[in-house]
Amino acid sequence: MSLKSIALTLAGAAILGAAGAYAYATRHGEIAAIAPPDPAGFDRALIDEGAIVAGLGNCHVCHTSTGGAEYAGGLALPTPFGTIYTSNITPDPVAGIGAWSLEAFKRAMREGISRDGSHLYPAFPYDYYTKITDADLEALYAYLMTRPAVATAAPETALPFPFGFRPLMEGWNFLHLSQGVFEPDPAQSEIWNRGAYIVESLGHCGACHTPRNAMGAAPKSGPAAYGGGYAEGWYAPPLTAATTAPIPWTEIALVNYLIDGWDRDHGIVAGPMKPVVNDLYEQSEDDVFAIAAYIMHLKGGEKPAAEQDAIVAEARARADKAEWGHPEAPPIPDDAQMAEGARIFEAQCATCHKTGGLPSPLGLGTSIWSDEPANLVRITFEGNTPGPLGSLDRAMPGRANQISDSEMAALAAFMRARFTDRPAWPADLVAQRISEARTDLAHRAAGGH
Amino acid sequence: MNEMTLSRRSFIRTAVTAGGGMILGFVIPGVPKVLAEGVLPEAWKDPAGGAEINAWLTIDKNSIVTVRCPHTEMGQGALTSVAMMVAEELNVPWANIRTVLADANRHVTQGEVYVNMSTGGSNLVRNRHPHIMQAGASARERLREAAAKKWKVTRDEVKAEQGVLTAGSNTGTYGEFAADAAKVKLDAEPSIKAYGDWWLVGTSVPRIDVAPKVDGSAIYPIDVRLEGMVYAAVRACPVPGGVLKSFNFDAIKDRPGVIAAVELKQVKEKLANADLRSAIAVVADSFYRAKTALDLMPVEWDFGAGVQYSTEGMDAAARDLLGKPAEHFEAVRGDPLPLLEAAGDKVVVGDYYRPYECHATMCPPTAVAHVQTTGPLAPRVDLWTFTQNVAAALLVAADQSGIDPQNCYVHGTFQGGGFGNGNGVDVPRQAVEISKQVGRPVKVIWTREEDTTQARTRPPIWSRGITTLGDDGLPTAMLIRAVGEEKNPAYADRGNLNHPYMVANFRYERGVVPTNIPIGPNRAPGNNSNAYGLEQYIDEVALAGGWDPLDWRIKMTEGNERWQRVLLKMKEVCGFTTDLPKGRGMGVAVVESHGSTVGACVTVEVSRRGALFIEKVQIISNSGYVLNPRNAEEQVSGCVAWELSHVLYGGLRVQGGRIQNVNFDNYKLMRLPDMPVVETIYANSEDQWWGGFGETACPPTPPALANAIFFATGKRVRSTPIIQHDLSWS
Amino acid sequence: MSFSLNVNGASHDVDVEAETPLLWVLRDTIGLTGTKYGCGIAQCGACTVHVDGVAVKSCNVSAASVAGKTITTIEGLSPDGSHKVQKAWVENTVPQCGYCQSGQIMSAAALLATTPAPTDREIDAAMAGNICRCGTYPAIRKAIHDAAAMG
Repeated sequence: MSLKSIALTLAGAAILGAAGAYAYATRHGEIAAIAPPDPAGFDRALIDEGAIVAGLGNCHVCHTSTGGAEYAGGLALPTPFGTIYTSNITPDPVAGIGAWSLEAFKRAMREGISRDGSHLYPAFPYDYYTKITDADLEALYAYLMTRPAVATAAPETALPFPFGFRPLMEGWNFLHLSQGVFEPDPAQSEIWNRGAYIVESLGHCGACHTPRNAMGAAPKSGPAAYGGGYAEGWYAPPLTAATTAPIPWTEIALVNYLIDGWDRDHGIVAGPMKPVVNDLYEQSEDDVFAIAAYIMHLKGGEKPAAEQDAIVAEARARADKAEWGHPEAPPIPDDAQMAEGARIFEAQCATCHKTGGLPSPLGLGTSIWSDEPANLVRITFEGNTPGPLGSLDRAMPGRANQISDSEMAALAAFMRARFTDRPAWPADLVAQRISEARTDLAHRAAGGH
Repeated sequence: MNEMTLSRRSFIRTAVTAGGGMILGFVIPGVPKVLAEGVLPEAWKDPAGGAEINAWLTIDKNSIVTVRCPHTEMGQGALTSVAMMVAEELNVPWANIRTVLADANRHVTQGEVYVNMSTGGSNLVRNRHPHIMQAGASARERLREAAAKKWKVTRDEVKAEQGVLTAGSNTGTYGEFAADAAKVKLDAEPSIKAYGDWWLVGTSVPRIDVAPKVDGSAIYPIDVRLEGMVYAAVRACPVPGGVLKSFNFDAIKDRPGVIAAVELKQVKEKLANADLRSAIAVVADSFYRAKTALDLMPVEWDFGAGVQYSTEGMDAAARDLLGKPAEHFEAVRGDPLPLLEAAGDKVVVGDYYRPYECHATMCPPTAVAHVQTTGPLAPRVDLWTFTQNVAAALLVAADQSGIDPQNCYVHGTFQGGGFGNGNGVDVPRQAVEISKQVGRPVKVIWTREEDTTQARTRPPIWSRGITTLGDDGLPTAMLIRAVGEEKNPAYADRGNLNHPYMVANFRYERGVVPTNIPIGPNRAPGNNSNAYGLEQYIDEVALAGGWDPLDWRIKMTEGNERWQRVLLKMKEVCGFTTDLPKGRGMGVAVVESHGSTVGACVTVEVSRRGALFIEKVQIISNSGYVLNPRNAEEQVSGCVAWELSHVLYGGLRVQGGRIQNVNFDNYKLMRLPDMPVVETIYANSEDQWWGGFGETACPPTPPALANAIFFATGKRVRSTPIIQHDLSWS
Repeated sequence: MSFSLNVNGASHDVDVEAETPLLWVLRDTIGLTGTKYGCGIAQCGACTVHVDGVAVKSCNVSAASVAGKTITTIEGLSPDGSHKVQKAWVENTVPQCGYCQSGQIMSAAALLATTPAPTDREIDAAMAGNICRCGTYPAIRKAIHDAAAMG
């Protein structure tokens, strides 16, 4: 999921890295194959631990193809450089990782090196997983080795030149892979450290929520880290204070959002975040509180309660009044495009998005307040269905067939003006996002992912 | 804060046992097929099913018995229950039983031959079993008499068992003697068997109407299709009490398929609980066209005085009344008022509120009517309708059409739920009136929005308890003051006035707030909402006195055998404890309604952020005898889902005299992921009565849940829907 | 507008407004009344049918938009009520009033077609769009597991 369409605009930079790379490339040897371990030999408690680690790491999201066996890989990740297929990580000795020793498994997770010594692509987020503790890796190994073995081999990934040349990744690793297990900060609480560990390692949150540099790498620290990024054409908003949300996030709002998939003051989860939330739904609430605590740290903490309450009251009141059909709702604007947007809204949206309709008003929706219109366009076209487990009855059908491109542009302009006090989105940016969303829909309709 | 969340984890569930025993491989159609050409022949006049022994049953040559069920099958198992009771006395193998719905016209024109066709109040088994079983006994005796005559023996010498008659070496099947039995006149009707002397009653029998409900062939009113039929969409004044001012048919008359607009003029209370509200209908050649045209037609209403009412206004008025002595009171025992006054603020006070709810039957109210005032069959009305009483619907059809009841026919169909809403809904009247006016068969379907807007709601209830305690921590004086609404204030009394807790000084008072919203019975009426307050209050009183809530109830109902059965069984099997770690809790409640005393023990987990998971609902039921445990347990599960649905998510909101949340996007109902494990535990008293089962598990479940939430979180949830309360704790 | 719908293996020519929901075309135009109306806003699932094998709420899909696709209703799930979901429904006596059950069965059948041995969580996700007012949910869950066990 996280790096499905990693924006590796490496180009020249990658080639540069390659210059010094080849010499290093041969230093990774093969780790000898083993006979697949007997599942009965693993401790039950360790396997259960591993299930939690796998859930926090969202492993199955990428390593399971649509309709395919769990963990058997084969999910096609389209990238600008060609299609990467995820690998089979079931304990089949040939198709999967059954012949991998714990040592080989740990090396792959921490260094991005396959058992045979070849490089893995960083679509597999080993730059985050490198921080996972030994104990968690052993548990994860036990969990994966006790899954049903699937003998179906995932398709080979064959990127065109120069990216098919895997040793290139050595240069990438040299520059961007900082090895070392997560170090707790003794000055912080246990919960904070647990949250930091999950966010920085297993959860690989930054893989989507951090802008990638010219080499397609996400900085792990500094002002850019968690500053907002892109995943599969969706915008992953900042996890820092740099947010345009009308109501500042709180710990409990984050917890609700991460478990239920929606929060009253922020809206509903969509796009590539959905499977993440579905995994967190299964996790212990304490871990989700820990994640929220650390993200609140990244955001600089909560505002004083009185200030927060005042903001909430004002923002909710404004959002309620902006709802369609509210007695105090603003009039339909005169501007032709805005008026058309209002017409589309009434015809396509107002059945549900109306005053007294849904528990979270549009006027609090992150997608509309964001300066990046991509998410609004994608939700409108693709819908948001089926919802994640915590919000099962909040599905929305997509309207790609009902709404034309120009109507979408009008709708976006209208909604931005009606529901926020942010500046209008640049028309050319909206047009570009509409075009990209159409391209992806067409690709999917043609059988792509 | 989000709305509270449910059911986050602990989904490893053991399958609920669906009941035992007999798997009978037969298919029994519940209703006759509706003919495309028009109306049904009156099946009973020419019983293709064999010889008619009496109005209740026929027997064919192969001893296949067709039982005519006079009661509505709306999911509660009427067909199966009636057939079981007849088969018990007739003594015929269950595999030989078929069922059809009995004919209302015959009932009305032949001196109420089915005694009573109304279906509700948990009366079917509880109160109708004597005459239903008697019909089976009577048929059995006629068969014996016919065989006795032929074999020239006395009737006493003829045994009738499992469809076979024997006397000495003589033997014959019921089928062979059916035609003769039909002619037998008995000197005296037999009495029914003694309690407990049964072979079929008390066993688990799978319900008889499943097959047509899994392949789409079961016919509900909405599925009836007649030759030449047109469709009507209706809208009654959205503010109950208001009337139609004007409509502009010209604006829509050229839309495709549109045939007519029909004004339905108000008819007030011509029959009890069966008025016709002022409404407008658009008739078209398909329902979608009718509905779309109605949506687009300009309509003006005179809303009338009802617009003054709102949830907020009623709530404020009711809470004001809670603080004042009410004019209506009953001094049940002693006089608590001086003691309460003397106690000053050393009293236990608790306020509770439950809002309006509606039935939301899955099949929205629908009726198909064909009124013929000319032609070879005229005058005549044929009606297929949402109802819980086909005989009452027949009288409505006669009343609205002006055609003699003997020329009115109400044809049975399955009902897509009932829950009390199937009496008094306007839809059959509307269909009859529209058909009369357009001269064609017409199908009227209420949209879900119309169904909720026009709901005959379950009334809201506010209540306050005030109690003072003695040195032993037990109450010495208690006042329960309830506030109901004006349409039927007596609903507020149920359980509040007649609870079994023997407080030495107890007084009940009742206030009333005005409203325009109509009400109607809704699965355990009165008790369903009232218990939420009373049984939480009992917990508060018990805890204030240092008592365990279950022990308190046992102590305060000493000598009440029915209650003691339930409470002691609960103590024995539920493992109730107030001593669980924070975040987990158990709660209990007991309510008597419809002849049964039913306890609920609910176990919950509430997470730190307030997510509620209902682990288990245990229902301890004392209904005396149980006709069909399998069906009883299915009803218990249904009751639990029903009340949890309202208490967790429900609550109709009124503004400007009209109901605001009119479809499932904002009147939410329980869904599969939130359904807890339900266990049914019997604690039946061994005396000779049958209590109800179709609604009796509704009332105790919500207060038991709220009590469990209290023990898990320390928070008392005094009003519903619970989902709007913050249950987080730290 | 006129178009053709492929329902339960038969082709039906219909002439309705393009935006007419599939539900009403199935029920009123074609006469297949096993698919039920419950809410009209895709909240209750009583109208669930299969379009190209996927469970779809037919009240919220225009009939014109599914012309040329393969539509299956409860009447076409099996010729004689012998689909394993139907058999499991009978064995567990799932229906009470029965009105929602066409939709429940269609959702369950679509689930089992892609997930032959669903977990409780997968059942939750697949069945949450179908409301049953009679509260037959425990029986539905058990019947789905039983149907899965039939292979």
